[in-house]
Amino acid sequence: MKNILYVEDNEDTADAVKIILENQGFRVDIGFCGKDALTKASQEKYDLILLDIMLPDMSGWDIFEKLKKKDHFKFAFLSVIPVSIERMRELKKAGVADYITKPFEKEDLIKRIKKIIGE
Amino acid sequence: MKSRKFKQNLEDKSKESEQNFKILLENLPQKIFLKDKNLVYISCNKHYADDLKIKLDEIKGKTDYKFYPKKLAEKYRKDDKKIMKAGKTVDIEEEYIKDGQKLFVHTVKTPIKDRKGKIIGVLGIFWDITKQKKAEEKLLYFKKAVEESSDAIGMSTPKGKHYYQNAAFDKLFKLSVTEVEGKKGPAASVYADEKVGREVFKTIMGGNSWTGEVEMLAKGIKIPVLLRAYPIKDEKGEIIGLIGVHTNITERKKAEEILKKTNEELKKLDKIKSNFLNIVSHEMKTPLTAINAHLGVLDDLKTNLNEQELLSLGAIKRNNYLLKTLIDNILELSRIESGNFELNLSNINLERIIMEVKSNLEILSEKKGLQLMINVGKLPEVFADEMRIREILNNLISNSIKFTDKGWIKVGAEKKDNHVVIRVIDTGIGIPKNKMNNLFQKFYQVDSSIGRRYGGTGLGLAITKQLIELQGGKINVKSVYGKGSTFSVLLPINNHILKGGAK
Repeated sequence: MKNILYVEDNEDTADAVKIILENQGFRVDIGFCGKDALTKASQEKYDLILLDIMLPDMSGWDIFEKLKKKDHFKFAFLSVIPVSIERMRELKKAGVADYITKPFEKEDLIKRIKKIIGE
Repeated sequence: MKSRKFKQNLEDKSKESEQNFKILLENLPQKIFLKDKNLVYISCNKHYADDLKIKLDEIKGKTDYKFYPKKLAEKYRKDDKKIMKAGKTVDIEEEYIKDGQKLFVHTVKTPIKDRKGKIIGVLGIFWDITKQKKAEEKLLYFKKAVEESSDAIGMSTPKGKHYYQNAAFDKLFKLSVTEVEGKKGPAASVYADEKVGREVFKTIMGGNSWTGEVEMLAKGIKIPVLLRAYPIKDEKGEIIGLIGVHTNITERKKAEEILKKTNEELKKLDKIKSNFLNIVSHEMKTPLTAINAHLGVLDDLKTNLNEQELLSLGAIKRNNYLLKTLIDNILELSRIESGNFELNLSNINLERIIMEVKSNLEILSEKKGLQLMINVGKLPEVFADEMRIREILNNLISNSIKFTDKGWIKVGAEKKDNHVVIRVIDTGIGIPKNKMNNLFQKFYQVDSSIGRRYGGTGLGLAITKQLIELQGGKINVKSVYGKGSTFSVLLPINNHILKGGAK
């Protein structure tokens, strides 16, 4: 079973995404802030870390920067901030698997997550 | 013997001197004449005879009436009489007619006296001063122009000594003639920055003109001035004077300042507006994401909902979607309108994009039992923004699906001259004629019930039109109410304007 860490400070959204992805057969942990996420990432091996950008203690970028060197996680962002095609290319070059904008379509989210860590 | 010889000598000398005197008279450029006390000509020099077009000896015994119009002749004679009566030399400028042309002459007339002091005639010498007179006349125009100019004009010697300023100069620098005359330049027009004054002086003394905006002092108060300073040179190129033309630009500066401030404020407002829109839309998106996600969760619950529950869930979903689209549309439109919008241009394959959009929208048309047909011929590559073209096609085709309940939607594309024409044709509800003009306006919906019935933000077509026009294209619509509509998009193949602007 693939392991996902979803870092999101909005509990309602976190709950829903957890259920949606678990319905697809993934195991999902939630990190409610940067500190929480970093602790969890040090204890567990995740196949994918799904990051919100605006978090109460640090940004999703910071978490990405801190974790990308240490382990072989895959990373994706899930954010309300839209990105340009160009920025998207840069992010992919930097090692970000995908960038999904909120609000997302359930089917689209599942399709893209499966593309990153499909069975 | 001796005395006769002496006498002869004296006579010779006298003759010689008379001869010399004659030569002298002949060759003087001035015109010379002699009249007796009755104002009858006795003789004249060659220049005068030439002027009158007579031989030298023909003048004897004639009067002015012979040579001049009556009025002029009378005037000359009157002057002559006055001179003889007064016994004094007169020096005047007067009119003169030569070859029927009016000229100006300078005349000196002297009464001639015999040995007893009795006046026996008049000697006249005169010369043409027409050229000089004309030049003086011309100068009068320039003088008037300078005097009446609204620019403050001041003139000084190369050493900077003031000798002229016009009324505007007095007004601008709040000075009077007596305050300025003879004083050094800087006493009259003081530069707020002495360095600038020295620079100006150095430039014009170097033989060049100087133009620029400077600050000058009028009784200690700073005035912004547009200064044009020039050296005046004589024929040899030597500087004989300096001219300064000062335009008071206080009002202009004020207007510029106001404009600048207004611009800054507008920019600030614009920034505030787009910041506000960004924040609002992002803040709105966060709860929307939660609603959206939980609607997804509800979908996964395979519980049986009753009819009312299904109806309510459907309404929530529809409105959730509408809200999401609305936020996206408002954000996009505000970006377009604020010019904060970049096109990502490249040569794109329209055929592929149309097929991709079609496959994305097929589910929607199938749901409504509509046929979605594509008829695309061989197309050249088009220089445009792929994502925006996708958005345009998506908007138009989904619009057609939305407003068509029965029949089909056809998407066609063909090359036409330097353009590619894309047509989206449907058998939908069509658009009433009187609503066509407003179709591309913001928040416009043909029928206010449409939003409820069909969903939509009323921004889709406004955005579509802007996106097409931003890429140098055009959109047209034809429709028969109740039968269907055709939207045509004209895109330039080789977009020189966009290509020129693209990096």
